[in-house]
Order: sequence, then structure tokens, then C-alpha cells
Amino acid sequence: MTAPIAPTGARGDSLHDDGLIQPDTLALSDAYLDTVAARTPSPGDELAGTLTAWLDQIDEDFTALPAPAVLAIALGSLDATDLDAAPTAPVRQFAAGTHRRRRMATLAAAMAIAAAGTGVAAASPGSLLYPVHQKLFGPVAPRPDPLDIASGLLDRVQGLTQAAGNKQHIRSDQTTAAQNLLGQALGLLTSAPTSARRTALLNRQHSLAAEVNRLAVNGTRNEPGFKAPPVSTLGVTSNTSQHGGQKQPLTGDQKDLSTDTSAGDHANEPGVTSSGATTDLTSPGGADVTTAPQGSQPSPSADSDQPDPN
Amino acid sequence: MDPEVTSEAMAGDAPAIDALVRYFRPAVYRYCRTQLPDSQTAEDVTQEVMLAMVQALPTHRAQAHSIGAFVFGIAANKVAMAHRASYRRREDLAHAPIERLDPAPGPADQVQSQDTLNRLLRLLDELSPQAREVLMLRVAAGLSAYETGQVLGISEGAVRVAQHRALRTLRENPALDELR
Repeated sequence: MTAPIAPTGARGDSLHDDGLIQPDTLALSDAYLDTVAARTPSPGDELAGTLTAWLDQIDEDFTALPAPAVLAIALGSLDATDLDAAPTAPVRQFAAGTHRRRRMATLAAAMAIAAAGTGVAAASPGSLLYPVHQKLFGPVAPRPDPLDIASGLLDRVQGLTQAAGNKQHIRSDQTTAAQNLLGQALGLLTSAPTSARRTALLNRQHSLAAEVNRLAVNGTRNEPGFKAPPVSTLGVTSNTSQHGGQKQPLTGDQKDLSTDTSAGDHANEPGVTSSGATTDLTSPGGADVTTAPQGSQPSPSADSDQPDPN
Repeated sequence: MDPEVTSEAMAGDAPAIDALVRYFRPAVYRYCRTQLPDSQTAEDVTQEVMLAMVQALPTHRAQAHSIGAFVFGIAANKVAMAHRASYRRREDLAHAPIERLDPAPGPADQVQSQDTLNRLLRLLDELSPQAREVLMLRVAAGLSAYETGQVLGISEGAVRVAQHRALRTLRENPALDELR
């Protein structure tokens, strides 16, 4: 006698719901499916007949599909004549050369895009890519000229000296502010490329520094315990005014200012003003840059195109 | 399948591999077509199965599994992957209606046959995925109960029970009467 078969297996949990099944019954079902798989169903069995018809229909669909030429190529079992004879099949595998060419094309395209982007970003007025640059980045404000900035700073100093000029002295805080402005202007001028305008502005800076120095001395000499401040004609602390006229060697752009910077030295001496300290500097444009005598208006700016700060 | 051809294919013999592909490809397509909703997807998965089979042949252990179980094990995995991929694409192949057979114009009996097949598909849709897979491996792939058990990782007895219950479910369905 054959023992009943209990369902087992990893996925057989759902098979325990209706008890034991006789092996003969299972064998009958097995044989039934074998006949369906063999396409030999019993006549009158609608289920088997319909299943068989369905499988036949799938097989008909399959024969209508193109032959797997790609698969055969992958296997290396198809020669050129077979390939010519094979119906067209969707290509899903690419040859190694195709992949390499694709990678190279992608790399080249990326490099071209990067180069074009760099070119556009660095485009300057006059270049072919500048219109694209303007389109992408918009109109770019022109960088201000350092000489313009320096000229503006000197105008402010001139405003200070002009305001103090009527009183013939300048307050200490104004002196400090003027010296700072003169220092900034000098820094800009020394870093600017050599030009006629630069030379003129350097001369103007020098003149204003002398004027500030003169006014500062006038302002402090009347104070108790007066001691001449170390004011530089260049707008920064100078050696010349602290060492009794022993001038240190000038370097670089300071040599451009190799004029009489002794206004501060003379100013240290009681009774000596800089009224006679005319520097007689002539700008390349022909405008005389002269330190104005006391009580007078500051000399006309060599950079005469600058607006009057007042 | 001739075991000698299988051995030669496992050794890398190109004609043997070609013979193996030609032998299994229709059955694999038939199985995939019963599990997937359209013929194009079934063809794609069939091709993937064939390529995977060729690549994995050298690692096949003939003693552990029959070549049929080996090939349809790959096919079952590829079908499952196709279902997962469709899920990621927000498609639901498992519950998509299987592409009905082409209702080509023709005689009245052909139309009636088409209608009968569509009713069968609706019947199969009511089976659990496992029961349906067992039936299709047995009928469409032509595997034995033992081989089906190897593919699904269950015993031969479990396969026999599962297929028996699947048949009983189909026969007890009132819709079966419409096939008659």
C-alpha cells in the first residue's frame, strides 16, 4: 500500500491546508499535465484542449519572430552568410569598437563644451565670443581706473585743505584723515602703469601732502607742548621730516617725486612758512603745479578735468 | 536533450552551444510568454535567458541539476527581474492583462476559439502566482515534476501537490463551463 504524500518544501506552506492527498490522485494529475505538455489531450477535455490551443498559438507567434541573429553572433557560431540570410533582429549588444568610439565621442564632446565655456567666460570686448559672453553674463561694468580713484581721493584732500585754508590750520583729526587719503592715493598711483596722467597726479599728491603738512604745523604750533608731527609729504610717515632734512634715498616711483619735499622741514623752524616753497612742478600737460601761498586758494589741479569737490 | 551535446556545450563547443540554444529557445519563449503580458517583453527576456545560459554553461554542474532545470531556473529569475523592473517603471506586469490573441477576422469558429482562449487566460489569472508558475513550467516548458521542483527549490512531492491543487482550482471554477 502506498502511503499518502504530505506536501513538503520551502514554498509549500500553503499546501498544508486540506490534509493528505492520495498518491494515485497526484499521479493522475501528473499524467494529465504530461499529456497537455505533449499536446495530446483527451478528446472532450475542454481544459486540456484550450491549454493546448493556447500553447499552439504562442508557438505560432514565436515562429513569426525574427531569428536570434545577435545571439548567434555572440556565440560566434554564425558566419557572414548566415548573417546575410538572417532576418533583421533588434540589436542589443554592441561590439567593443562601438563602445570605444562612443566613449571617445563623449569625451571629445565634453572637452569641446568645456573649451567653449572657458572661451566664452574669458571673452573680452573685441573678441568673437564677446557677444555670447554678454548674452550669458550680461553687460559687465567697466573696472574703475585706479587713476580715477586716486584723483577722487586727492579731490577729497583738496576739499579738506580748502576748508582749513581759510583758518590757516587744520585739526589733528582732519590731518589724519587727509594723510590717510594721501596714502591711499599714493598706493594707487604707484601701482598704476606709467602715464602722463599718473605723473600729474603724483605731482598733485605731493603738493597736497605739502599743503596738509603746512596746515598741520600751523594748527599745532600754538598748542602747549607743541612738537612737530611726523607728517610726510607723501602722505605716509616720512624720514625726511624726522631727521632734520637727512633725506633717505628714494626708490621707485618716489624718485618721480624728486622735488623739494622740505616744506615740512622748513615748517619745523619757527617763522618759516611754506609760502615760498614753490615746487615749480610742471606736469606733462604743461600745467604748473604750485603750492599756493598761505591764505590763498589751493593751486589748480593738474588733473583739471576732475570736478570740484565743493 | 542529448547529454553528450550538453557536455560538449559546457566544454565550449560552438556547434553544441548553438544546438542547445535552438533546442531551448522555443520552450523558453513559450514559458516567458505565459508569464509576461506581451510578446515583445517575452522575446527580450528569452534572449536574455539564452545569453545568460551560454555565459553560465561552463559553471553548470550536470550532476546537481538537469540542463532543463538549469535553463528554466535562469528563465524564472529573468521573468522575476522583468516583473521587478516593471515595478520600478510603475508598471504592473503581474496584474496587467495578458495580451489577448489577435482577433483576426475570419470564420465564426475562429472567433469562438479566440473567445475560448481569452476565457482560459482569465481562469489562469485567478490562480496564485506560484500555482500558475508550477503549471506553466510543467505544461509550457515541458519540465517534469522533478525538474520543476529543482527550478522552484521545492521537492518533487510539493510540485505534484501544487499542480494537483491548481488543476482542481481550475476545474472547480464555474467559468470553466464557459469553455465547453
